[in-house]
Amino acid sequence: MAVYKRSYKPYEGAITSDRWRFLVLTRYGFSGMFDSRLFTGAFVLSFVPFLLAFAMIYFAHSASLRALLQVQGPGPNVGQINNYFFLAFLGAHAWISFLLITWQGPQLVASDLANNALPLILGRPISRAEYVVGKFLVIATLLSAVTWIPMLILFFLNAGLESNGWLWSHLWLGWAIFIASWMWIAIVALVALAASAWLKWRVAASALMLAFFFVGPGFGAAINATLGTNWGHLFDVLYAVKLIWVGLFRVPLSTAQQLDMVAIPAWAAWFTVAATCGLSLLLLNRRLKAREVVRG
Amino acid sequence: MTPVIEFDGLEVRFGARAVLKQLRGELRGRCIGLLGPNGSGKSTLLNTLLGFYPPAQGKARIFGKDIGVHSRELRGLIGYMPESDAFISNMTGVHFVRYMAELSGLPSAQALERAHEALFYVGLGEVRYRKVGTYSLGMKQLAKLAQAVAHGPKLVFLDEPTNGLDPPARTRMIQLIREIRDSGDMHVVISSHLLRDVDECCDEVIILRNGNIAGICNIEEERRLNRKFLELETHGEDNSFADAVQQLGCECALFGKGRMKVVLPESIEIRELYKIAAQREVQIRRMNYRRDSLEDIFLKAMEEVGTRNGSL
Repeated sequence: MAVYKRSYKPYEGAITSDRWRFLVLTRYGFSGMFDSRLFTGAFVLSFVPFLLAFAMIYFAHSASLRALLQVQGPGPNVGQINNYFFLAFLGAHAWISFLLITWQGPQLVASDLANNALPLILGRPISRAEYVVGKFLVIATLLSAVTWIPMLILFFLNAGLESNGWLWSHLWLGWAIFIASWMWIAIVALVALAASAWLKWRVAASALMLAFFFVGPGFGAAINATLGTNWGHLFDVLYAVKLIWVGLFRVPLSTAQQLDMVAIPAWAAWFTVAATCGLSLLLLNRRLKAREVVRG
Repeated sequence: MTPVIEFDGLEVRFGARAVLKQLRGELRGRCIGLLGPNGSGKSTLLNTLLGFYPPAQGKARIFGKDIGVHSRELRGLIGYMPESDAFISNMTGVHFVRYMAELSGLPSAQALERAHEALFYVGLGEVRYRKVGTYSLGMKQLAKLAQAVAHGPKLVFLDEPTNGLDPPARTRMIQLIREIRDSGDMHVVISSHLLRDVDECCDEVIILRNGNIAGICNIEEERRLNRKFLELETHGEDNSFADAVQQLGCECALFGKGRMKVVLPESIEIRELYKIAAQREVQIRRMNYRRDSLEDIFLKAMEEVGTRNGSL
């Protein structure tokens, strides 16, 4: 029907698959995020470390390129492309992804809650779980693009250049990259969604996110200092994440001790991560309702 | 014909408090008015039918399908316009309506086309590229209506659709609702405490009171039944006139000062009254057809304490 025919007509066309309908939320979430040119620019810039690392790996393996560029001195050592290299790269990209999500992540849910659009969305064939999954996928895809995907590209690039069975002997490193990245993605995404669901106002939600990640260490340090214990680290999500990463990337115990990454056992670090994710899901469950129920 | 909405002992509780109590009845109208004083459970009923609140007991069916079992399928058939503000402020009108249509299952291209059409249809065509957050209150109401009908639902819930509208905007909204009703493709449920809105649009009403059904009434049927109900104002010997009218076979009630109400059987024409009046030298100074207004129906329902269902 043309727009000039201004009378109501029923819709008799095709309907999309019910199973994947929640991906509409993801698509519109992306669209909203990249509305900001500044954010789009920052996102593009976040690939600079990846490109540098890519060049470094290639440069380290290419004697001819070093000769061509007439590089004086030893240059990057092939042996430097190891678990420490990937751990450092993950650390850098985790921070970049954290800043990106702190910037734009909270708007995903806050914009729906600010003007009460949730009843409109949940009044359609979309469940609350699908709503969360749809929004989660926005952050997960974005963070995947700056964490495990570029890291695995580097990993396979190095494997291709190394040959000699390097891939098989370092397969554990590939899994470590994947698991460590997804753990980070889950924490950041769920905390961002929970913060925005709780506060509705995007700026305040971003501030809450920062507070969660940076007040926790202070609180943990205060407990440690006051009670003379290390269990205060349970409140420090960043510490727990780093401790798990150190384990996943098989950093030797001596180095871990030097980095003070042995204060709590690994299970306790996993507990902190699980508790953070669980708490975020609990908050989302409480806040993401089409209607508030006033119990009497 | 399958009823549009059926209640079978539906009860909704918030904690220990029963907000909807054992509702029973059927609604079959093309445009159904949901009436009741504030706090009577109108919005709760709509939200329950949308699946936002689970029934504590009993069932409700829409088009014969249980809302508990077929909630997701039914939500694809329903359009919903909430009472309060509901929009995404940083989206343009067309983007917003398209988004909602896509969530209802329309493919992207069709959703865009329908969004344009729906916005033109409600009268927002010229401002469809403006952000919804910049719309006036009346425009936001129309945008809510556009998103409710864009995907071509079979049933649309309008919760206080004329809230906050100025008279011209209200007239426009009522006109749109009547057009939608008359299109024959969609059933409409209007929740309102404004009797005039319901009276102008609906052919059936359900009246709620304290979470109970105070009455279900087919307004069209009521209007037909009351077709021969007359209000008279006479001058002269009204007692003898009233006696004569009763002897004619009419029901008649006097209210003093020449005012009386007469119910004419189908077989008796009005001119018979004029003949009697002329014979008794009584002047008929005013004669009005009167039907029970929706207000009368509503007030009667409110007075009938304990009535759970049934026709008024």
